[in-house]
Amino acid sequence: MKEKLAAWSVVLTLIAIPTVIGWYCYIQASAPYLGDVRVFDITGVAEDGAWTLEKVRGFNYWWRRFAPMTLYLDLGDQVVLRLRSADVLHQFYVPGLNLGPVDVKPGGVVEVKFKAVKAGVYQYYCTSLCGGCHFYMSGWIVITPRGEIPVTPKPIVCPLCFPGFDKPPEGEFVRLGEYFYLKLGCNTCHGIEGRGGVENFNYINKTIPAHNTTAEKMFLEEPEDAEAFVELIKKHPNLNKLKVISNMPRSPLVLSRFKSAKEIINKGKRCARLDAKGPEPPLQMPAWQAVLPERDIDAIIIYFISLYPWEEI
Amino acid sequence: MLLIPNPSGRGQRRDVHILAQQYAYTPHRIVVDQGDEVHIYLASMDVVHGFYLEGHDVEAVIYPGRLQFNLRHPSTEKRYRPAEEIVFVAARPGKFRYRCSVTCGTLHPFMLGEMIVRPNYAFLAGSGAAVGIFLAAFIILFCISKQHASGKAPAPTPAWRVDLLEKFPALNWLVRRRWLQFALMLPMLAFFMLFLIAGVLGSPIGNRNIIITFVWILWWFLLISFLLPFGGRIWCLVCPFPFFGEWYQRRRLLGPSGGSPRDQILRSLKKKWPLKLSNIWLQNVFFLILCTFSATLVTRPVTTAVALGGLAALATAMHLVYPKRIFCTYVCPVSGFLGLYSMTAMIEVRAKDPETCKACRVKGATVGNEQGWGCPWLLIPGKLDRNNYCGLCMECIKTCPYENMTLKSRPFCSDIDISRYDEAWKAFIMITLAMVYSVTLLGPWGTIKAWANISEVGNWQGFFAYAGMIWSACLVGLPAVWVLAAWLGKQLSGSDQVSTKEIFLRYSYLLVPLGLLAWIAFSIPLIMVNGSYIISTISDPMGWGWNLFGTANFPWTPLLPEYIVYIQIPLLLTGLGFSIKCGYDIAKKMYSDAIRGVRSLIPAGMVCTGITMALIRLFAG
Repeated sequence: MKEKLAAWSVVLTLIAIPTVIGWYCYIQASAPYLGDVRVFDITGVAEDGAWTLEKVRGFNYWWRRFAPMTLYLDLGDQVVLRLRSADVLHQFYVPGLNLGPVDVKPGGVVEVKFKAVKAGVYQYYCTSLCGGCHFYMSGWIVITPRGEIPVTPKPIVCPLCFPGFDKPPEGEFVRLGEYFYLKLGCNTCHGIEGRGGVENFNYINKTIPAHNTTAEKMFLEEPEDAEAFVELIKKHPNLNKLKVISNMPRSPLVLSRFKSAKEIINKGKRCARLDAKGPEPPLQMPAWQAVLPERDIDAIIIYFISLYPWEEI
Repeated sequence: MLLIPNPSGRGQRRDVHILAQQYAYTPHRIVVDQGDEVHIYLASMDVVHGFYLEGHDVEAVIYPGRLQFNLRHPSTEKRYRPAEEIVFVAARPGKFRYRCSVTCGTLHPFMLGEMIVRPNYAFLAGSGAAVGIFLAAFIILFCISKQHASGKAPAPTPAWRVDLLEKFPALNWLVRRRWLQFALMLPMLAFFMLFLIAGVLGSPIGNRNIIITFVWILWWFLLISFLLPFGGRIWCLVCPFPFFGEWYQRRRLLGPSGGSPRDQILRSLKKKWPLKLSNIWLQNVFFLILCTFSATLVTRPVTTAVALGGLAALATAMHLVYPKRIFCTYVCPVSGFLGLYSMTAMIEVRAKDPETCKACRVKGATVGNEQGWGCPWLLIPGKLDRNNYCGLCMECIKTCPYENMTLKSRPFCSDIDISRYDEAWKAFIMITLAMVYSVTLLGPWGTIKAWANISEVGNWQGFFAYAGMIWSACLVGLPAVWVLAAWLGKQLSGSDQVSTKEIFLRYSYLLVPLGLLAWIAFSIPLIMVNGSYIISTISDPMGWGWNLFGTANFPWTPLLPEYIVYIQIPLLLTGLGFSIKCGYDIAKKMYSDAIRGVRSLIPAGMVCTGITMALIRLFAG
């Protein structure tokens, strides 16, 4: 009799634990929301640079590449986004829908509620640097009137972990500059080969500045001038301390532009708003001084100068 | 900003730029003088990190790509405000660690740096005390043994024992209940299931998953600091690993119900365990393997789930093949160090009167009877003289028809005999690992953490260097030093009565009390610094955002972390004292001339003092 009781209590324990977990999970997921609400569980994964709709678990986190979400909503939907982080602190921001930015700390859930009132394609972002893939941690929320076929924007995927992405040797300034430009994700805002054109919501200039015209902005009007100045940067690690360079026309101007370029990379820059009452532009220039030594910033500027399309002019 | 009046008025201004990066700070160590005005500027390389300075009421959040960071004084402020620097006067001398306070990835709980405010009295006093204990101990020992030689010493009084079953009738009743072990194992089994589910399906963040916080913070701390020194292998009584295997072998959960003798026969394939493996070498190797991957094991829930689940599966499988607890005795990696350190335990299962057992024809405790099972640990309970392989299952107390088996309380470190190489090496391995972990997990060195963190960093070269260092230090390095100490001890004793080999083996026990207390000292920061994760994961065991008991958002709150060294140093010194004291007891057993014995102990005592000082250097220096 006692033996049977013991055996049954073991069986019961083995069944009860998963059942209770499953049951609590179920009531937890549905109960708090009354009425016709669409609930989405979204997890931020730094390693893949993705806000994903997939379930991130202890067992799949270490091998799976999580796909960034494209959220399809119908016009008029009541929506709850339940945001989690699988690793570090992220920030979720959808400026077009005036959602956030909200801190998403590891552990716990942050809820964002809204109603889909205007059809369109809205870009969401992670706005707190969260590692190498941070600048790719972005995607789309598509709101379509009921019954219409939604557009399908291309997901933004981080390519940084793909092979063939090794650091060039010291001294090869142009290649080093290009390496950092891609590695740090500068290209995600300033465009492929510095061509710019990336839209920044409610930014006073609408799109983020290009960098293939840096030579021109620095008053280096002839290829020879540019070449000479690049040689000078390569030779003098502290070029920005100089005031005048002999044999170079307008050298004080060139130097002052060079200094301010370095200053922006070092200290970052807040983007002014187009509509002062509108949401903050999601893409802000970070301060890189903790990450990039002065010489690497020099390499990046040399890379920018090398991008100038001399032949076309 | 927390300006404390400068006591000496001679302080200098110190500007320190600290850069945070997964999982270390640069610089990892700041040294200032008492009274200095310290200005700290913070920046982050990769992700959002925290900066919690022990003992200074400073907590900051560092955002990468921003010039300012957020700062608050947690005792008075809830909100953070932007700041460009942290300014304070280093008023208190000592060692203060700065720790990451924002979950920043797998090794986040071990991301720290050190600030030393000179003069570091605790470190100086601790090191001095270690040398002092060594000198004083040997002066006393020489005096005692001289008296002994001149016949003045009193006859040694046998150490005290208290028969707990006689003293506490309720305990006597309890240990004789057939349901006792089952009733203890079942809740453990339930927890174990919950942990496995959490490890596999729960959050991948270690400090938000119950399997990590309960196993590696709570269980580990309780096991090493309380269960082992006070209860010996009491964990083996409740461990859920052999639950299903033993159920299969015995066909029942509670036990013999009086019936036929057939009921006593265990079910299994009855294979014989090879004689060559009838020692704890397998346990030594398995434990080293687990420890090599410790950085992954203790930070990633799924790894712990796989390791523990794997061990439980192996235990079950081995119970099907081999009779009794072969897995526990010879294979389980936890069992190895439990056995070694249970020698110190203040509890033992022994015969009240060994003569009764010698005269006994029934041998109920060994083979079992209608009251209970024969010893599952392959022991002859009547002949027990050491704790090492006794799992405290209490079966022999139930079976002995003369009520001759009992549970006794006794002084710390009562079993002092090691005479086997496998056990000696277990002692070397354990104390070396206590030092290794104090460097990798509690130290501020990011490079070593990156080597150990193979599953995330993937630097195989560094990992093999790290693993090679651990294995060679455990298996060759310390044993080589010990050989030298034994050889020197023999020379110093000036006697051929005891061989170098015997000195080597017997004195390896010195590393048992010291090793146990080193592990306790290592484990104290785990609970005091990261114990608050237990509170938050109780309410949110899976890390899914539940809040069962309302404590899920309990913030990470270190408990008086700046005072940890004042607990660690006395613990280490106690360990050293017990080492030398036990060494003397061993020497008296080996040498007929006590003075020669004390002389032979000097080199081993010096090595123990050196280890103690090294640990004090790591914890307090």
